[in-house]
Amino acid sequence: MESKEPIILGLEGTAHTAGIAIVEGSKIIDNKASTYFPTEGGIHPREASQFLGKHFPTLIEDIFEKLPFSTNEIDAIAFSQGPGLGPCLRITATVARALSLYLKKPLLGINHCIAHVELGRMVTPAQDPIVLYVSGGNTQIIAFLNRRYRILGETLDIAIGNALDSLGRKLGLPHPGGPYIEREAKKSTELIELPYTIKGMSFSFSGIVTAATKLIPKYSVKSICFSFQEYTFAALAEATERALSCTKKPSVLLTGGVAANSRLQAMIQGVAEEQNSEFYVVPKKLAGDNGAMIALAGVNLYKEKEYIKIEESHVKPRWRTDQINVSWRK
Amino acid sequence: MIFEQHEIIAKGAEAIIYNGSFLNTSIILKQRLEKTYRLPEIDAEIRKRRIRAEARVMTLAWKNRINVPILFGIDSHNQTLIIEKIQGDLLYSLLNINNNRHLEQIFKNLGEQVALLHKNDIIHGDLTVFNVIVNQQIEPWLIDFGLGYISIETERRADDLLTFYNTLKAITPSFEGLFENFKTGYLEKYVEGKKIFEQVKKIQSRARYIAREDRLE
Repeated sequence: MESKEPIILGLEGTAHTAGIAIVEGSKIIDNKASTYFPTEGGIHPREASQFLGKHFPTLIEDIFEKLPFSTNEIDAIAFSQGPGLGPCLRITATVARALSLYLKKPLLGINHCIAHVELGRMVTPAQDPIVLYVSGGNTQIIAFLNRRYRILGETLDIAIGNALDSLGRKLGLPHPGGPYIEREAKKSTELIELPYTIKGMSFSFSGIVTAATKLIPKYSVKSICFSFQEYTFAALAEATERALSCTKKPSVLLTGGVAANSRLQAMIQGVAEEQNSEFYVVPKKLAGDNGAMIALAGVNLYKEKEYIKIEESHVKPRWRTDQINVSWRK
Repeated sequence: MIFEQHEIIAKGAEAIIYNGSFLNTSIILKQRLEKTYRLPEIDAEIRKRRIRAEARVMTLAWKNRINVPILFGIDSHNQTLIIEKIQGDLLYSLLNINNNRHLEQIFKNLGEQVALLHKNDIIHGDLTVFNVIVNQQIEPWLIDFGLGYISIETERRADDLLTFYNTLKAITPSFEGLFENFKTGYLEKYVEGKKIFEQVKKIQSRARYIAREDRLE
């Protein structure tokens, strides 16, 4: 019986962030990232993938240089196999395969969304939460039910981060729009009516972006930002409350890039209070895409010996959260 | 007051439910709660809109002989609906009983009831197994029209079916057969039914990361 915790190298590259990390069990030893910012417009998949290809070698060199032990101590290579942008996933998978062959260590294919959830469970006291996962590419309400991570509610079109970025561009704000919209919103208390869309536990955001865009000539940027946040976050909060009320889970966990938004945090905390649940938010540094979450999720799979062969390591751009057999949770 | 309010029996996401009695009948009182996490203006507007829509929709469904509780009255001052109490079990709790031989029939009947709603331009808005009560005669009753409204649009009907499908899929390992039963009942009672299922597929195709095999057929 081996007593030592596994050492896993994790690679994240589903969209804009090239992330790499080394973890030992639940301890993060090193965690580095480079993030692509488009000069204009949103994320261009090809440019993003070229960015990842350019930055992974430097990141790897960097992390190996500072490694407190020999590279031979690494037990496995975990990588984000999906979901995400195809070109980006392929770059990351190529890097992972090369490292796996070079270091002669097994490969672990990680679901990006589940990695966010697993990291949240490791860095906060939340053990069996309702997860509100909000980012540029994903917006889902996830709960562990019947041995799988189930999606109780999700966006029916675009992700909340995507909606914020898209509105930000139309308002002339830099990319990514979320933090700039938050800053503008704090300057206003003028509420302009916008659509409030909720369908059971799911939501949709593309209509409200269009509606908010139509306000541009008539209202100030700050009031549009304020109103947009209030309506969209209220819908997310209501759906989360419904999920909590249905499943009676003891806590709520907020994660993903948009989790950094203080207004959203306050609303979800309010939801948790209404339902007498605990509220946890993943720290800003770890809430966005990062290598550590992939490595930490890799620890679980490594313990279950769920390695994948190189020839079976094709990327899964549309990999669903509920397709994963969660062998490590009982 | 002619009705009496007794103990709290449930606290949902939107409302507190009390037991009560009205002319010797068991009733429930559904009081919508203020949500302090959202702006007071948004909160007031949502609650006002929903309590009206809920009352309107329940009455229309009842007039059309759909299995819904009777609405006895509205106490708008207290944001409270006074509703007939349906005795029975939540469909959700029946799903967790293994080998329940009635489930197939219940889902087929439920499909019929939802078809009747849609035929009468009523959208449930939160159609899930948490909002169906099955009575002693194994009949499904639709409850909680808190997100309900009236619409003639195909897409709104499709929203209902998709919400039902997604939630069922999320909580039930053997959902496919049951959903088939539901679909059979729905199509039997509603000639437009096929068109609605086509629209469900269109909505699904707008979402992210829907694997082809996951689309509703």
